[in-house]
Amino acid sequence: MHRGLAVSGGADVTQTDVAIDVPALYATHRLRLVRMAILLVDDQASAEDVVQDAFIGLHRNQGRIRDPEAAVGYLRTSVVNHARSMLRRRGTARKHLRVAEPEIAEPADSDVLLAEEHREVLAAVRKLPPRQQEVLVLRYWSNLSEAEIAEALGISRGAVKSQASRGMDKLEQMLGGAAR
Amino acid sequence: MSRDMEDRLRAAFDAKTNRVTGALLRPADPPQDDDVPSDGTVTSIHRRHRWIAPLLAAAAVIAVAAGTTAVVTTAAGDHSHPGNTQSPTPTPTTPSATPSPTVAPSTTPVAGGAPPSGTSTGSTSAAPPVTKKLTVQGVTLDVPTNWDFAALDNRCLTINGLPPDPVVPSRHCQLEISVISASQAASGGFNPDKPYVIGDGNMCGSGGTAAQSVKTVLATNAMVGGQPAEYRSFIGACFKGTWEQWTVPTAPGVIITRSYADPATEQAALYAVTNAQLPGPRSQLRLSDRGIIRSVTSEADGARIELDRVTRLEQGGNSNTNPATYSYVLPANLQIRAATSDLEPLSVQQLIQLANGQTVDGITPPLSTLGATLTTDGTTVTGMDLFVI
Repeated sequence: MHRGLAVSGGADVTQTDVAIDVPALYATHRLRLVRMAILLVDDQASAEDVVQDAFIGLHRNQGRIRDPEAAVGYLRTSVVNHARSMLRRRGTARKHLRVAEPEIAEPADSDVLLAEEHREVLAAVRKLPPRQQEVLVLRYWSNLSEAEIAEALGISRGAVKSQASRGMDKLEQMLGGAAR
Repeated sequence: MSRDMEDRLRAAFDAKTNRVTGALLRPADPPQDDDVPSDGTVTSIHRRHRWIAPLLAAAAVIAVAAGTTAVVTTAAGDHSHPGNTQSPTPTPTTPSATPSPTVAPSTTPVAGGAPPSGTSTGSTSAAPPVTKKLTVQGVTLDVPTNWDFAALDNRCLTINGLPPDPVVPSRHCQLEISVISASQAASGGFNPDKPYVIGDGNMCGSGGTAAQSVKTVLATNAMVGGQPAEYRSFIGACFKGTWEQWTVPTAPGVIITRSYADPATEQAALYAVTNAQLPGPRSQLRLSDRGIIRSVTSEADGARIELDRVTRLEQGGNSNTNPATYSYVLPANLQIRAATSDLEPLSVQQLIQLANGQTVDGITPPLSTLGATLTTDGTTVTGMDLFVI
């Protein structure tokens, strides 16, 4: 049985020859992927769009993906890539249109209920380069292994290790003296 | 890198993401064939339909407001609506003290699964693949066929009837249902802002770090079984993930708790809650309310008070993000508990004087700085506490 994965055709089917069931995957994984995307793009509306785009991509390519486990990996990678594109578009818009905030910015009070400690940490993470942010989110929120992160980001395991190490070092520098 | 920094990072990520539950996601469907343009260009259907969610939300608000303002004419302006939400001639019923769950055959199978298009805040919710009906204390829910009453606990629905966790009984519950009569609410205290609603129970104990860790992360209005309800979600150090709770505040009060918002069962839970069939008839008034006093006007049989609903946050303080204002008639003989200079309760007449700008027993206007907590028996206001906002 494929743990945590919705497949059509019952629970005991083998991975091969099983068509992926996009609606079932959507029902099972959408929320978690939105949560992951929020850590990457910082606002819920963008995160939902990013995840929706990932599912559209999966729907488009489902004929080529026969392994439901691989479909989840595909979605994860797709969310990271779409999030990166979203941030890039946001940066371009700011540069050329002088838009101070993203079009669909989170409400101003969105972080009001977060503890100050958490706000400081999240603010520090946002100052890291995108790749380091992605590695830290996949490692410390998604709890992926180095190999899984490497696959999701299309980089080597060594690069995952070094990006994680640099990211954490920078966080230590930024937050090391911060009050807890 | 230090272990401490890793822990801080995990905690911050969890805090940020745990606030987002399925209830908060905008309704959306999984991609269909017609969402993919023939040229292969990826276009987000979500983005194209971004206007739908606000429109639905606005429609729901309008529907609720229309339904309530039609029942009672208030002395105040058009912003307010009465504390009652249903029939003007209620006959509250008291649920059985010993609930007797029943099981009915399945209904509404939907082949191939369904998208998580439901929200707990009032929109409709798609049916899970196959459901059956379970009834507890008069509340009937459409749940997945493998959900059943937990062994030894007929308020808790678990997958395959798994017994409640011996340490934290609610931990295995996909949903836990409680029905509270008006008299039970009056004797135990009824507070939709609290994780346990009834009484002073605290999910993480009554003191210490764990107790202080409980925080309200979301407070919104919702619809449960077609009835106005209040939705709260909480996080805390002594339970996993997010604790969700829907409370129908009219009598008999219905409290549905989802003590661990497991994403895997999100759709089924929301469908069950949204489409619940509630015991009725419903009472005229909400069993409790808490808000800023917006107006007090004299009436022949006492006074009418307009309460701008505020949420008491578990981390302390009040949040006034709820736009609802409810109207109540205070009986002329009501004794209002307040921190007066003579330690005596205020009378309704004194409250009217306060509203008219007079200082009464050490309590000073303006009214907008004062809040009140009301308790009712479903038809009449039976208690009121005054506090300073």
